[in-house]
Amino acid sequence: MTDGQLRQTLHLHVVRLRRYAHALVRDADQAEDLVQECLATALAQAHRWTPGTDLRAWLFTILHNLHIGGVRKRLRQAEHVDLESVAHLLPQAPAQTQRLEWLEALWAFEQLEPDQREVLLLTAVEGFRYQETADILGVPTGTVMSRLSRARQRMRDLLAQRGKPNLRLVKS
Amino acid sequence: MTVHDRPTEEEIHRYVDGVADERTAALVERWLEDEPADLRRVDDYLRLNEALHVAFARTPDGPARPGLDKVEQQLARKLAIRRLSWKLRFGRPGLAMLGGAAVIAGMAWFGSTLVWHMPPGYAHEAVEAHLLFVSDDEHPVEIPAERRAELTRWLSKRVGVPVPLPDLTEAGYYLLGGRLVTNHLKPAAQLMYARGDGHRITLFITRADGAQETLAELFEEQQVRFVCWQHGRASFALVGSEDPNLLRALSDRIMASARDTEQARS
Repeated sequence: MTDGQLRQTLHLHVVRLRRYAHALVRDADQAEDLVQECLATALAQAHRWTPGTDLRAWLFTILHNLHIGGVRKRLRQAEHVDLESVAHLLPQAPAQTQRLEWLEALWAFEQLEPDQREVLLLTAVEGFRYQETADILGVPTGTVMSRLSRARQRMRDLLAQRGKPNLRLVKS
Repeated sequence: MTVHDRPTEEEIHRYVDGVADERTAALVERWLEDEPADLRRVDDYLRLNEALHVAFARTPDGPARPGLDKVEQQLARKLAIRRLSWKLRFGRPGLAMLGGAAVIAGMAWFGSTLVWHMPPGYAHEAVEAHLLFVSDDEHPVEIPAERRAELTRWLSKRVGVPVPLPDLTEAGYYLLGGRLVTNHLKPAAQLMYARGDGHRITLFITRADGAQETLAELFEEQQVRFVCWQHGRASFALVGSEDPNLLRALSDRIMASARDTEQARS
């Protein structure tokens, strides 16, 4: 990998870090703070990165540690964000037919515990393997599995409960 | 109607996330054929995954913090320098004693300072033997773990040092058995362990030239991580594509087990 490629790769990682931070923190300012803090920490700690190992996982680990190190308190305060305020943070709305489904999913995602959200984001959205997710979060793989399992079950239950009133709404 | 094995919760999620191996995927699919409730559940999970992708899979709309790109550039430069200095110190293929294989990292984790080394000469043999047999489904071992007494007696006799059979069940690995392999034409032992999900690691044991104690060190070669250490006249390499912390914990356990065996003998 040339230096130019490294710069490009890093840029892609930063895009993913921002996406992850925004999904995790919701408040756009706080999310950008988190990313900035993450890069600054990486810069200060660059001597600890082992060339040849996964740079993306290293950066996500730093971001996670910063996140639990203080931002989580603020996150708790801002736990219940209504859907409309979330929607504008998101990139251009996907095709209208899909819109309902992802908004519904997002609503259910919002109701999850922060631990469960992290695991879902890292595995289902960012595509990290379970072992990598466990390394980033600093927990055993079994914990990743149980959080993932609970997160999906809960989202499914929530959407099932919500399903009926919605149908009535559509009919009326 | 046939009754199929129920997949574990983990296997179902692996299937949903597309990270199940072929055997597991087939198991899950056979199960779902006869279990409409689980089929609906898996279908819902797949839809949720898609919906979350749609919701999150794009770059945030808002601008990044002013100055972020500058930090990013600085970081890229620093990482490039880090990589370069690394290459100069460790990465020249001509210097590697491992047949041109790229040695990525070797680090002593005892003490606070990091010390960089080349892996010992037998390590390449340990990795080769690992890659050769770890994927063998028919005959992964010559003598199975059921014949423990015979296994340890035979391997100890051939290798010329006591070959222990460390118990790693607490860490989730059970002994499959062992076989005789070679270390530069000398006999060496390979023990194979497997986890519930099928993941395998191997422990390579060979006779050292002189008695010595060395610290355990972590290396990586051909995308396989391994830990090497010497205890008395026996050299060890624990090989497996695992995370470093787990490998370290397992090697600690093996070292403790070797000490226990000696105490029991003396």
